Amino acid sequence: MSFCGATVLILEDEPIIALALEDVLVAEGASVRHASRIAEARELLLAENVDSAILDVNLHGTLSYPVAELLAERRIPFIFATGYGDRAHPQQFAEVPTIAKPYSVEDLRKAFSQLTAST
Amino acid sequence: MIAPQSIDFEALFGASPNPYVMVAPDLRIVTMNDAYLSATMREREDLVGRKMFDAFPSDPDSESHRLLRSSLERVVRTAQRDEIALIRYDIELPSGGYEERYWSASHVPLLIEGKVAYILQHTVDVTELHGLRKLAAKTGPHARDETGVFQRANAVQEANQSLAQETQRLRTMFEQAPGFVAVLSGPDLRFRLANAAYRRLVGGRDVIGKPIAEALPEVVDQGFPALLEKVRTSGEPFIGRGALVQLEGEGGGPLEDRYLDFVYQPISTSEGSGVFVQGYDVTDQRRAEEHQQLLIHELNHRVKNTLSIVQALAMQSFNDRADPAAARQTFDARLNALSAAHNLLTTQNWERAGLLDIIKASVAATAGANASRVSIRGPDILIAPQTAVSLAMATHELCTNAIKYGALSNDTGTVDVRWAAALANCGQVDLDIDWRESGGPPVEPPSHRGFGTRLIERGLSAELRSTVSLEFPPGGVHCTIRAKLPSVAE
Repeated sequence: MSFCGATVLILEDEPIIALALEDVLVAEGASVRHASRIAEARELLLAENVDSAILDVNLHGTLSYPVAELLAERRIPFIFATGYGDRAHPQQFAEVPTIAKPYSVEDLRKAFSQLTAST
Repeated sequence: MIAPQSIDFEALFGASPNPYVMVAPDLRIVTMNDAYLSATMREREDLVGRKMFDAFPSDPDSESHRLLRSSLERVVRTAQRDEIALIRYDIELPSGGYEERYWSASHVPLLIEGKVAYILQHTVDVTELHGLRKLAAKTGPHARDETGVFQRANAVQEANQSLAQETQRLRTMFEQAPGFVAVLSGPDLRFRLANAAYRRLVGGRDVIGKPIAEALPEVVDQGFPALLEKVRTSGEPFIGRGALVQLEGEGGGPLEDRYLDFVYQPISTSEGSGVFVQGYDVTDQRRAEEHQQLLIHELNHRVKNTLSIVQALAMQSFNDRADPAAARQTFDARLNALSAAHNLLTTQNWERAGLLDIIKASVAATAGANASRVSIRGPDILIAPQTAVSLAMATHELCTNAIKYGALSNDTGTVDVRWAAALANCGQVDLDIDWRESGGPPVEPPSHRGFGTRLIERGLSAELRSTVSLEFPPGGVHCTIRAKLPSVAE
């Protein structure tokens, strides 16, 4: 899966990181929707069509798995980004591509290419 | 009066009504008197030169054998007199078979040049003690026997007394031991002993004399009585490490988690087989380890997050449009502002920061000498760590813009930073920040919205559930941030 022409949801609570990620994705040809909280991401998913998503696992101590469930239901491919490299995801998300913070553009591309393979 | 050297001690020894036998340290019989031969119903030739336990064989595993051997060996080892108050030692009858006999004996070392050369055993057959006593009442010579018995009884009494003291000492040690100690015995696992530490562990309950299922009912379903019973019946000890036990607290409170290191050691007691319980409450240690793990984990997360922020700042600073030298300067300044915010958070264990401190520190780190032209006023409310970092970075970007294009780009302009905070519903705080520049060169709206502007407008908005307005009137930049902050505990 490529970013070009795709609408990508970024769920990320750290605004500086979100902005940098947005710039990277825009440079790759994607358009970006940004949410920093679970409720905000839900509203956004109800209102708009997105093609893929990047979910920060830990949002101010709240885990973002409910958004992952919503995405899975709607068959929207997504990847996780996390600062907790040593923590395992719940069973149903064990196979979801995960990039560890801090990640490079190359890490992002690689994770998204895995999405192509699995969807 | 007869001089002592003229007394024939050998004859005296031979004639004594008390049975005596003398053995070498290797327990070989050297000599004995007639009374001894008559008491043991043996002939002199049978005994002299033979070892004690060859001459009077007994089962080496029997109590009699062990008692006699250990007493003799103790005398050889310590060169001190030793007493056996009562010992059953059966004697072979000349007609064959054994006769059940009870003895009282004293073992006295005979020293040559400080070393035990011989042991003199004085034995009294106490099988017929009553008969002896009656006899002693009538006939003079046997009175000596009774005196010997009396002396030994005294010796036993003294030994018992020191044993009682020793027992008391051991009890005191058990009672005051830092670890918990208890003894349970019998098929119903009844408490026989529990020290102070054990009683503290079980919330001060009186357990002595009660079966465990009655004394500590909550542990039954946790499997501890079953485990104790297995140790008691199998004779195999059990070692528990960091085992979780839920125990009632003081005064029958709710169950509390305790983590214990302990040993269940099978023992035999006067009430039958039992279990000796000994261990330590390692709950505090366990909690400290868990807390430390949590802190390490959290620290790792923060470091990773901070590295990501630094990475994002680098990406924003070193973009294609920027002049490399200027980009480097921009990046350094941003790192500096981030570092100032971190310093403040570190002093508060990364739990909170004061808003006044955060804005002051960010302005000081960015504006340097020009910071005196920034007037900062507002209540010093507490804010969450991530809010602090966002606000510090936003302040930095506003300040940087002011230095490059705004009120701080000339010598006379000033910045007025004000805020008000009001308590809203559910402990939330309504924060109203106003950044107003004046006295600078005429302002023109920027043609390109850089990272700083975007961070202020978008980033803060997402982070703080806020509405941000950034305006560029000719008189000076005006930024207002209206945010609803979560409550932060002191």
